[in-house]
Amino acid sequence: MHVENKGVFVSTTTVSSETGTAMFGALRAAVGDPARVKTRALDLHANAHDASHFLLIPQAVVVATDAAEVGALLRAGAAQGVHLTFRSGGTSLSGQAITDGVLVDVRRNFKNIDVLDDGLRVRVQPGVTVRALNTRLAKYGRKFGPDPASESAATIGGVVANNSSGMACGTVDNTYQTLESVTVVLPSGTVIDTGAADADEQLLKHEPVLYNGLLELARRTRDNEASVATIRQQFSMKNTMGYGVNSLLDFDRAVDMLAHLIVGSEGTLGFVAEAIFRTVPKLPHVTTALLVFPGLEAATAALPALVATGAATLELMDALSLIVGQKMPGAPAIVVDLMVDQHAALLVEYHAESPEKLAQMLAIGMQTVNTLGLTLPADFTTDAGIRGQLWYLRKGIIPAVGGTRPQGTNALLEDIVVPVPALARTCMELIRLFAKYEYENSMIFGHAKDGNVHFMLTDDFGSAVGLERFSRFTEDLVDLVLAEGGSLKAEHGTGRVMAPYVQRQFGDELYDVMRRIKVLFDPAGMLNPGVLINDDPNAHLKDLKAIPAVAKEVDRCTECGWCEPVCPSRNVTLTPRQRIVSLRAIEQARLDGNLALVAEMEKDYEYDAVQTCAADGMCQTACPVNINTGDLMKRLRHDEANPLESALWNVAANNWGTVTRGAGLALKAIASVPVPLVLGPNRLARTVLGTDTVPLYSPDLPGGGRPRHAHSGQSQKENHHG
Amino acid sequence: MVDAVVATERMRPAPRQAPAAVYFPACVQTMFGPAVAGTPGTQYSFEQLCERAGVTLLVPDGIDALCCGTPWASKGMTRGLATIAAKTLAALRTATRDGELPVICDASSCTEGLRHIIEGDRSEHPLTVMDAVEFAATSILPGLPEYVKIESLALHPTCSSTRMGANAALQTVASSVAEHVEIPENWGCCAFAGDRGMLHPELTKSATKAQATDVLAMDAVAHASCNRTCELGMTRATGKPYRHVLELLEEVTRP
Repeated sequence: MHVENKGVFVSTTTVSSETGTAMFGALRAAVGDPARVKTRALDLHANAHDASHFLLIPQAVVVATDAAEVGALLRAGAAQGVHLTFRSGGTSLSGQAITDGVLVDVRRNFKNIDVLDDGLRVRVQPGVTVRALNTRLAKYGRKFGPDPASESAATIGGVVANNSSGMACGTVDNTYQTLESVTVVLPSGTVIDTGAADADEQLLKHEPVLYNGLLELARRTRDNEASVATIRQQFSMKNTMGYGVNSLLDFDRAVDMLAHLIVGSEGTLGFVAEAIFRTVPKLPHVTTALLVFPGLEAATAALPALVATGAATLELMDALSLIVGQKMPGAPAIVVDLMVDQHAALLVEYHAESPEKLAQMLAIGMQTVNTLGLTLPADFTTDAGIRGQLWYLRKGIIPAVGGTRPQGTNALLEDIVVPVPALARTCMELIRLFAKYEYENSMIFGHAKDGNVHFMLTDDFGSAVGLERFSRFTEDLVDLVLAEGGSLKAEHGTGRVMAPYVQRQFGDELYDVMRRIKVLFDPAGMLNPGVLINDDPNAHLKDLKAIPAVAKEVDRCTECGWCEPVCPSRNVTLTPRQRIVSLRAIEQARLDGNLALVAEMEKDYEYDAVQTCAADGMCQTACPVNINTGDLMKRLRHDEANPLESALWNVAANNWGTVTRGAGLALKAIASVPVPLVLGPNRLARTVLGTDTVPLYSPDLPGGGRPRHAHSGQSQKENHHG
Repeated sequence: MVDAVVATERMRPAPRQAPAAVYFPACVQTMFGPAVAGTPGTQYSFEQLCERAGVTLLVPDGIDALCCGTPWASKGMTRGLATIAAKTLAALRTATRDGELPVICDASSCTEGLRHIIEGDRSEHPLTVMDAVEFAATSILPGLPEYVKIESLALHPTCSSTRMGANAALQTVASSVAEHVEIPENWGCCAFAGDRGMLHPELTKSATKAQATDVLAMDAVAHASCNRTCELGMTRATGKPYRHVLELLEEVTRP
């Protein structure tokens, strides 16, 4: 295979300290508050990690506030010759949100949601999570079309950038289909609202080369029968490989092509500052069943008939998935009681707007279900508890594997799609490949109604053996999927992991169209280089994350980022994921012998991670592998506590009544003293003893309360006779 | 001595029936008084509610010296934690008649702290700990006489009520206080975290910023949570007096 290597799209930037200083100055001048350009080692390492198995360390992290600021940052980056990568939820899996350039955080701000037309449409900014958006839309009986499993943490910016879909939306209600317009900041700094009445004229006026180039590419593609056929076939499936070149066929105005090329462009063409979507109805009545089949072939053979019944979800789980599921605490009885041999299961769900409609759908569904030759009778339920167990089984597979992987190994989630009729034999062949390459616990599961399945590979990808195995497996996987007319990434994005295979999947002509798209939007290669289009045939084997052991409480963390939206310190210091990855970075630096870096990060870790953790355990409620990062932070507090303080707290434990009354009396005394007199000495004590020891009193605290007392209905002694 | 005086002052004729549970009033109520001056506080409110519903409780002897251990746990003071946990566990074992009665605590973080303490207990007769809000939802609400609800309530579930799965009970009790109960769209843990909000005020300020805006836009008649320090955190963030939801329930059901 001929691989062109112009070197344009390979990122290898390193800067000397002098150019670094100039670059930092330019970035600081581009934002309203220079403090939002962060260059401490801890900031760089804490923010570097996303949910993928790749890692690059940025040179600076910038928290942007609005589209104008992003435009200024793009111009500053261009002037300084440093590239930019946008990061919001950091839940993507293919390596598309990491960089060795400037990482621009577009999650902290960019939080606006404007509900339009009584919920039929919504205008939303990139930092909003899918869950937050759906919470707002629920009041209108509507929801957002794309439904990624990571909805609690995935944000709209990433959903647009990856053309996210999910288990129900398929190719009907995905981002591409539900997007109406975007406000996009182009690498030149030009801002285009594609929903404006004169948007096409504005694009021609401000970006004539891009405008004419898009129309030229559309003509070239439409005139090429093979291209049209490939695009129609490829985009009849979920597909996030390469650019969404179906835009060139589906739209006639350049500005609409632009809007839809932005979808799935993985931050390589522009920044989405805002987008308007049509919403979909939220159907409140749901019935769910796990259909157990004697084998994979029977399960996948049933798919076309089940799709025809209007099933909202058809989630496949292979035999290994069921075996793993049986061991999960709280697994549904139907799975626990099954003697799993070659079985496979489909998690089937019907959604309707009313109970009557649901009964009607189920009746139609059962006519088909009854002909399927199931191992166990189909048992549909609307019971929220059992439905919860069934979904817990399906969603628990990834963490069950990822969270129990051996120390020092990494987990990598694949995401392939083939035409539904080819799904069974593809899965059988995959299982053969797992055996051939000795990948253990690679169960197959996923969105079978769309021919889209996932499987996880766990290995030490950092070792030569692991890397070689992964390289050879990937070649076989690519051959297998492409021979079936499939796509190597259905919904997770091309990223770095599949960028070397875009050309093989789409052919030379369409690959050249894609390269041309990148050059039209971003001639200088300022946006997220190395992602989606990458001339290095081994890009997927480079910059892989190392995961050194740091602490038993957190070593199973897969860095998915689901904990971040519920963490109360997320906007002031660090998130739970950032607390964990920073520890890993410190440990890695120690292993690398870089003790200066260790010292630099440890200095800032104390306040940013340990002291400002609320230890409220909210992270654990969101964590798929049940980590409470607060437990570790509390242990670190203990390890750091000085012996005197520890002894005093033990004295307090023996005299707690005096202490609480003392605190109460102190607050009562304070309540009658002028505020400045209290704040003065209190601040002084904090300076002497440290801010993590002496609480800062503030005038809004109440006076003390009454002592507790054993006088209630009965005291204990009274009760002894009664 | 202080105890004796207060107890005498507030002693009521005790109903002569067997206690339904052991009541463990949290020490945060002692350290931080009520949000609204002149209101009696959570312990008094809870006891009033129990009396109205005909429920008898038993408070362990020496309660003033007992604690759920959270202040030690959150600071990583393992030695002190072991000391206070042993004292508290022993007192609860006696008071519950070796696990026969459930333990009820009136601050969600402390309820969670007590649950951590009993996790380490290897007895054949395990103790059960429930939050006062959970107890109210099942054992107090059904026994209350007719009353008129207030119009609206802004509700702040806590990290602990979320972790313990007690939010449904909290919602039930809140819905018994007000016709309309709303949780802010940007709800999240307030990060007051016992004293962390006092050690690092910037933490609570950041954690509550978005939800405070939501709360002010709601313009609710009353504001409630189920943990004294979280109530402090939310009061600080919004300027609205956050109170324990049981204090509000006591007020609306007052004969």
